Amino acid sequence: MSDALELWHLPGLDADDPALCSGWIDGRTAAGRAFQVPAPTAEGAARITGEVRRAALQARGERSLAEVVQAAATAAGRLTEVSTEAGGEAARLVADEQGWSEPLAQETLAEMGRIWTEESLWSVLRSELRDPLVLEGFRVDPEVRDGLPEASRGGRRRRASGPPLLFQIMAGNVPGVAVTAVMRGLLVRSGVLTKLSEEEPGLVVLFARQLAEVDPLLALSLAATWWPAEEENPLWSEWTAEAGRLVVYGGEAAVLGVRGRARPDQEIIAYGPKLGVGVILPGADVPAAAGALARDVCAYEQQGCVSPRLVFVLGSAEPFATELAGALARETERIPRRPLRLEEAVAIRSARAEVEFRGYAQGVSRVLASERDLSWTVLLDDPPCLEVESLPRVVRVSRVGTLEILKRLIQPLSGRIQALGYAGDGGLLRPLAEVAAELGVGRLAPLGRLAWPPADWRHDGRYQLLPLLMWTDWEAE
Amino acid sequence: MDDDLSARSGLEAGLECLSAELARAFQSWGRRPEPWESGRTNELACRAFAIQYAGNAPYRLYCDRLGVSPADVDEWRDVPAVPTAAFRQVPLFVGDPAEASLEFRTSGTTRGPGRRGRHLVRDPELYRASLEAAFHHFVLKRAGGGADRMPVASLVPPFCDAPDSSLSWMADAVVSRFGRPGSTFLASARAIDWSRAERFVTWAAGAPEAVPVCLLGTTLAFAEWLRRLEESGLSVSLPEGSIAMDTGGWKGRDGPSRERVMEELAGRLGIAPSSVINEFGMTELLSQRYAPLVPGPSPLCGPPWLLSRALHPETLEELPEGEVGVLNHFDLANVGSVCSVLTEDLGAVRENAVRWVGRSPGAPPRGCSLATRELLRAQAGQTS
Repeated sequence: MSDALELWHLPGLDADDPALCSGWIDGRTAAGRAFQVPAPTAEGAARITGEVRRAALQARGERSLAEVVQAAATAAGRLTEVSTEAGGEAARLVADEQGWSEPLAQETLAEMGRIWTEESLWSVLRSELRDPLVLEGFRVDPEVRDGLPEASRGGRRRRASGPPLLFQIMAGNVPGVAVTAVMRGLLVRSGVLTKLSEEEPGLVVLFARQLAEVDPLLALSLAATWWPAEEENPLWSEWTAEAGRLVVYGGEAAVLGVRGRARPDQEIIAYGPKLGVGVILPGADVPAAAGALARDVCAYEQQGCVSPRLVFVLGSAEPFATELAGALARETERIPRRPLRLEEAVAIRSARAEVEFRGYAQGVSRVLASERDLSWTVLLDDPPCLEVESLPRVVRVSRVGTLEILKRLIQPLSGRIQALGYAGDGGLLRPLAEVAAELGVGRLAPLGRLAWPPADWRHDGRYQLLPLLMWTDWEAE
Repeated sequence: MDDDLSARSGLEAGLECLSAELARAFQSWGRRPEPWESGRTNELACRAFAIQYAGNAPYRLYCDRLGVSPADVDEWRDVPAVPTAAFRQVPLFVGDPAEASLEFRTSGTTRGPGRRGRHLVRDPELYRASLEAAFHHFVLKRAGGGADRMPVASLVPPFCDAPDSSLSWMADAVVSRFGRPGSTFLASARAIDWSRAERFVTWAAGAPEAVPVCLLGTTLAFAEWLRRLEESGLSVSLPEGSIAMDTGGWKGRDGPSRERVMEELAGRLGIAPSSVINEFGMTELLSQRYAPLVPGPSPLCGPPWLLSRALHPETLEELPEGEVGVLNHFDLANVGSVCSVLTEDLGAVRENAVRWVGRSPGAPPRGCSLATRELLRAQAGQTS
């Protein structure tokens, strides 16, 4: 008997019916946890798509936006309350999938939970649509309602909705991001077809199971499963062909792979890999800033697009690096790091050796790191180096003389910095914000909040919902 | 100042003395290949470490940081291993790096051409002694018919065309020590002369005295040769005892298994599978390991002064025999730089024979967090 988890949610699919399902596919999560999903036949794939389309259409007619918001928030909220059965299961699943400690899984879910509440979902809707009820029906355009312009006195109405079917390809590894993505699809009233990430397949499935209890019809308008991206699977062609929009979250390879499959006229919204950067300005409370940065680094093991990997200190970098080392040691004691893959261990050791020996050559660069293992690493590097890899709890800290130098230095990362965390001011915070805007940085936040964007943030510097919508304008005679 | 000078000259004298002793030991093993007593190896290892600790400044700083000095070292396992990444940052050399006789550069396979490591060599004769003894034993005697000299054709460019390549230096050394008349370099820095390669094997196969020959090349070069032979339909039957030695693997590119390439090439050239041998070397090491193609994938064997073990990647504790970890090599021929090298290779070791699993790919780009290396490299490529 296999102990593989079954992590899938496919309305309309009877996995025991050989006409619909040809067998099972085995996957392994980030930490190597085995799971399995059914392999639908072409007929099975069509059946799933048809069921999701039908349920989404029915929900548009039978559910108000408020009901959708409430159902989604309730289902997601259950995953974040550790004291409940569903919350405990979610935390254990994340820990199991990622090789994380349970406290880290619980903290991640709790933080994610803040953007899954009804209030948060309404804040996204209002922030992007002003009048969210355009998702329910025609609404008088506020600008016209206010009496302008003259020519439109008769009034103009608008409504908006997402495509009947939305295909979301999740290739990332931050638990919870896929749930947020699915909720965005439900908010715009689409049927949501989700290809899960092999590294983190589970949370969306748990969300779907909770949603099925809260609102069975909405749960039918969501399908989620995984298959190996490089292999042919009827769902690849079926979902790509049927979806009005494709949304990809993940690395360059995933984005390119989807582009290769899409029709030339098909719109693809891609959230590619990015990184976080920290800047310590004059006047910063160094111990507090280091502690805050350490929390941002350890949050979901630095796997996110907002996770800080490079830190620049205006002034001397050494005191900050020393404080950061202490803070990372404490944070690691509180929440141990996940086990490393072999190649990650090799890469961390190489990164440490490069900086250490560079220091022996020029006397400045230095490594501050956990001695006995590779739990955490601060690479104090001078001159600054922009090279970083996706390694857990590794931060490069460098000194920069002025904002102008910093701007020139990070210019090559233009458009790739998701979030910039700051501490201190010294009259430089506003100029720093201007530099960030010029370099296409999506978000500035105080250190300590870098890892946790608010619900209504501009993900990748863009709206979350508007790119999914089609509008209908109705001009009166 | 005088004390400093005398310390330096004492160090240099000690190093020269140890190098000469090692060269003699290597040559002696080449004549009578018998295992070394572990006590002897460890005694030499401790002496080598004492010299490196005293004379290799960055290495000493590293050892001090680890809290290891010669007083703490009883055997080769105790000697701090330098990660290969260090070779990309700083000259690791006993004495003044300006006095190095040779400077070898790594190919930059893992980190890109801008990040090549450097290995400075003080005493080329020690390198020569190590490679001659091991080549003679593992290639000529074990894989070949035991001939002491044979015509050698090298698909590796000569050292004058690639003056920073340890492989080219090796090819030169092999041709000059083991080559008979007819030996030739088929490659220059720019290209391999495939028509000459064809003429060489046709000549060797047709020569009336049936002298076995030795072909040296990278796996990539042999794969290309095989492709060309398949295209042209040429096949010959080289004299019995002829050898093909490949090295280097796929250098990060995709391809069929090297075993398949070499087996098919050997078939085309009439070389017995038992005479096909894979050489495994690293720029950072002056000694090499060898593995025959048959029977099946074989572990890499080396001379007794090249010791290897697999370490736990996180704690660096030695793993039980046969378990896959990060490979650490200790090479006494490296006495002029650093003997203990921590690689980025994965493998398992049993009775000092290495089953090489592969080069660690570096941290693969995962998920949402951007690894900037590729991005920066691409940008550097656009502007250069």
